[in-house]
Amino acid sequence: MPQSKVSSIKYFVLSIVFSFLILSVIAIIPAFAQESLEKARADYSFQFSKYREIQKEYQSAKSQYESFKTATSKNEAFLKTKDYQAQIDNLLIAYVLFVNEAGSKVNWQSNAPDRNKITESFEAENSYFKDHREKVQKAQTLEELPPLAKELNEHLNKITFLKIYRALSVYELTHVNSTFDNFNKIYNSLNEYISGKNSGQSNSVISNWQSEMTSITMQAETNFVRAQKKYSQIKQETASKGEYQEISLYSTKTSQELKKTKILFDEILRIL
Amino acid sequence: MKDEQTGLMEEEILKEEEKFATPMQPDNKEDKIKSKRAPIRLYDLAKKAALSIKRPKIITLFLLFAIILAIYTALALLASKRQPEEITQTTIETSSPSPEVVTDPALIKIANDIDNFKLELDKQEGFSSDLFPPILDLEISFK
Repeated sequence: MPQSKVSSIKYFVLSIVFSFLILSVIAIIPAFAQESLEKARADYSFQFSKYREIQKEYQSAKSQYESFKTATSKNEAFLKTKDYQAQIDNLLIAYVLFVNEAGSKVNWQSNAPDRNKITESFEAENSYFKDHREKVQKAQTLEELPPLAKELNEHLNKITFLKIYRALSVYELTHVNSTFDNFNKIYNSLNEYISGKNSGQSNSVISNWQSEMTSITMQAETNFVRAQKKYSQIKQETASKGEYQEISLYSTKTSQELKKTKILFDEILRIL
Repeated sequence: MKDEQTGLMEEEILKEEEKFATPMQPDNKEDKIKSKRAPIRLYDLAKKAALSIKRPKIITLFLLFAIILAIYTALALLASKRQPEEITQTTIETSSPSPEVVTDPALIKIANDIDNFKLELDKQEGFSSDLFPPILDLEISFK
């Protein structure tokens, strides 16, 4: 076979291989993006079960040390406590990533800046947990570990969990806001369509449908305004558990009211 | 005498039968040999063709191509299998004798918007219930 023919075949095969490589990368990227939330959820679940296993080992080593007070049992207790505290940091990193990924379910069109703020605040939390894990791993004695656990506990109660509650409040409110906006757009366009079609004629079925829809809209709006009011009262970066629960309650009530319109929409489409 | 004559007759019949039977045998053998040789020849040809490619780079490239193709197909299959199933809600529909086909484009657009709105509402269920912080035991102390 001549040399030029062989080289042309070689380049042809190489080009096919590279095109397939590029194609596979293009095909895989969106699939991975879609699954990032599921991966974050799976990782958090894995870290939690690992935490449970290590917690049992830590408790057993602790009780052994407290009963016998030997140097070997103290060393075992030190090693197991160290593993346990490091695992708590791993679990918290996975948890914060999972909460951040859960935000991808929300339609951020009306509130894009808040999404970036939440991601930034979670990044700060994760770097804190990574630093704390390093401190735990550098510990040389058992006595160094309880103060590190206390420090983490305080940080969680004063900062991390409050940031989480705020993020969850923002998720709930932004999601219900987007749904409510959509509902209003659909309701308005339906009203325009009905008035254009009827052109002054009165129809009792449509009038009753409209009054029912107005009543639901008013109820939904009342709850949504309550949720918004509560949200305006919370701090820039944090929210208490109670504040989150209240915002969540009103957001849920709003979406429950909006759910009632599903049947009414089906009904009007059949009539029209 | 009669027995001897009948014996001769039988011999003649047998000879004639053998005459008819004998020319058929060589043909059958040839067919059998042909049918046995066919796959062997194909295998030999394939072997010769494979051995004739003396450049290992071409073989490597071909193998690489086949591996990439296999991995790509497997990943595509996995991606298609993992797609989340859509939650379908059973709606009780009132019976209508002859459902009218909607032809108005404005109404079709509104109907599509309503469908999207319903899906968005379904997503709302239990939105942040599984996002609550984990309960951790951080009371670490030794007596």
